[in-house]
Amino acid sequence: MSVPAIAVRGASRVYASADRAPVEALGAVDLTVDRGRFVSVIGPSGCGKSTLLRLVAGLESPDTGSIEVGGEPPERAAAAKRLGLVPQRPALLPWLSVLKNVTLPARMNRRADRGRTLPDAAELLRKAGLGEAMHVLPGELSGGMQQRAAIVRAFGLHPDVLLMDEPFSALDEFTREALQEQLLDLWEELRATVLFVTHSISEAIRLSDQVVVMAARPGRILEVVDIDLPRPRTQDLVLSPDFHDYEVVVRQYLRDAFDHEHQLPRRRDGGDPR
Amino acid sequence: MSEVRRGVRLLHPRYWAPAVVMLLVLLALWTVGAERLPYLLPPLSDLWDTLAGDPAYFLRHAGVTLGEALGGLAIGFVAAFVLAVLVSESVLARRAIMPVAVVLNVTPLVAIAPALVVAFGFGPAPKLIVTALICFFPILINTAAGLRSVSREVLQVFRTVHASRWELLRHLRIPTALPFVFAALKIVFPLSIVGAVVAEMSAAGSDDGLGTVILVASSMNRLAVVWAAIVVLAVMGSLLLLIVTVAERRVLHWHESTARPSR
Repeated sequence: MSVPAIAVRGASRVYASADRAPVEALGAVDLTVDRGRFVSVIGPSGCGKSTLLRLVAGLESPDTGSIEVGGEPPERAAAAKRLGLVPQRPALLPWLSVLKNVTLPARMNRRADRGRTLPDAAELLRKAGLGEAMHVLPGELSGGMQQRAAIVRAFGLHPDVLLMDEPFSALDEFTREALQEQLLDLWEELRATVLFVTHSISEAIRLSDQVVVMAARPGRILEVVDIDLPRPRTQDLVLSPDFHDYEVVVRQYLRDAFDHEHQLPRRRDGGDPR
Repeated sequence: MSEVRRGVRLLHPRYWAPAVVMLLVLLALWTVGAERLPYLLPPLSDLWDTLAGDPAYFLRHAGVTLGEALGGLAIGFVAAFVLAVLVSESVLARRAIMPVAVVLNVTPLVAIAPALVVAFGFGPAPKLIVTALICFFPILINTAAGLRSVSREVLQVFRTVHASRWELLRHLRIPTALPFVFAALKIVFPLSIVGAVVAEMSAAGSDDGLGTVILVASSMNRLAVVWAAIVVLAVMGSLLLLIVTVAERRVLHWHESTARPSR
């Protein structure tokens, strides 16, 4: 059997703060993601889904347990530039053109790029519908176009693992759906393993091979739902009864997650652990 | 909007008339004041005659003062910028440097200047040091804040490709800090002239610079010369500010602070 793209074993993370009780953001979570899979993580706020993403990105270390990306610690995967991150906001640099923004990661940590052929950034931008906007500053683009540029930036290194933290949450419904489609197109072509954090049930189902449902306090994985729908996931598919059935199932798990949380004795803290 | 159209718009009286009217009112008040209080204000005609009578004299002294101001500013800028990078990169450096910088900032420079003159003599050294000191703190504080203002998300994106500290500094932190640096420059360019003049006035034996001109002329009660030197200083400060503002518009065209209001 091949090495999984992401392996999380018993990883926990506690945020301590001086003025309140420590918050158990993540309590001993196990998760295995196979290569080339698109996996969404969904759950109520405070369930640790963003924490999980940061652990896989190597931006934080787990207090217990271990994380491996392609059989290595995340720091090693980052050093080899095999990770891509798309944050909640586009996080483009306002003084660089869209093209220069997209190629900036390639200009950093150059040692890791030796012997690799990177996809042509201009070509990727054209595919993402940003051909015209290539030489424009990000400030002149709409929010949706900026987020598309951020996605192209992450794909631009042809990463093995792409980590996306609610990338579409700030966009309106129409833009969101158009971007989902474009994300899937890029993904079909470049085939990274994707870990995608979202609040939206339909978004999770449309994009993913698997939906991971999490619950809060402590953050944990409640259920992993396999989405057995054909690809490409067209607009018609979203309206099909099968799609709707998955929505019902995932929604029920989310409701369980929510009820679960509220049956537990409330702790004094109860804030978002960040 | 294009530069040309913006320029044409500024030619409209709506833009320059209020300032011109205000200036005329002030000049009229001056004339009245000079008639009533001849020992305090020279008549405008005297002021003009003084300036026009020997422009080379004022230009020479203005050049000396400007040289001290810009030289001191350059020294202060380099020192403050380097320390700002240190302070933003290392907690240890921040804890060591910032308290000293704050103490330096609250110490009145007018009080330090004479001591420096005693230590370094009447040459340019104390003037450069005083000017550098007065420019130092605003640049340090602003640049350090700017270097630290890179958003968490941007940093996370580039940490996941393992960008080095130097790469983060060069590609993210320094460009992000530029608007802060320009804000500081707008403060310290005029301040640099203050520094130079204060230093000249403290070095009672030196014989050039507009500060010296003012000091000597006022001791001899030559009011027109005093005020002529003041006018030259004001014009010089305004020109410096204009240069910084134009440079800022050029460099920071991408930044929202340079976006023009719609009216």
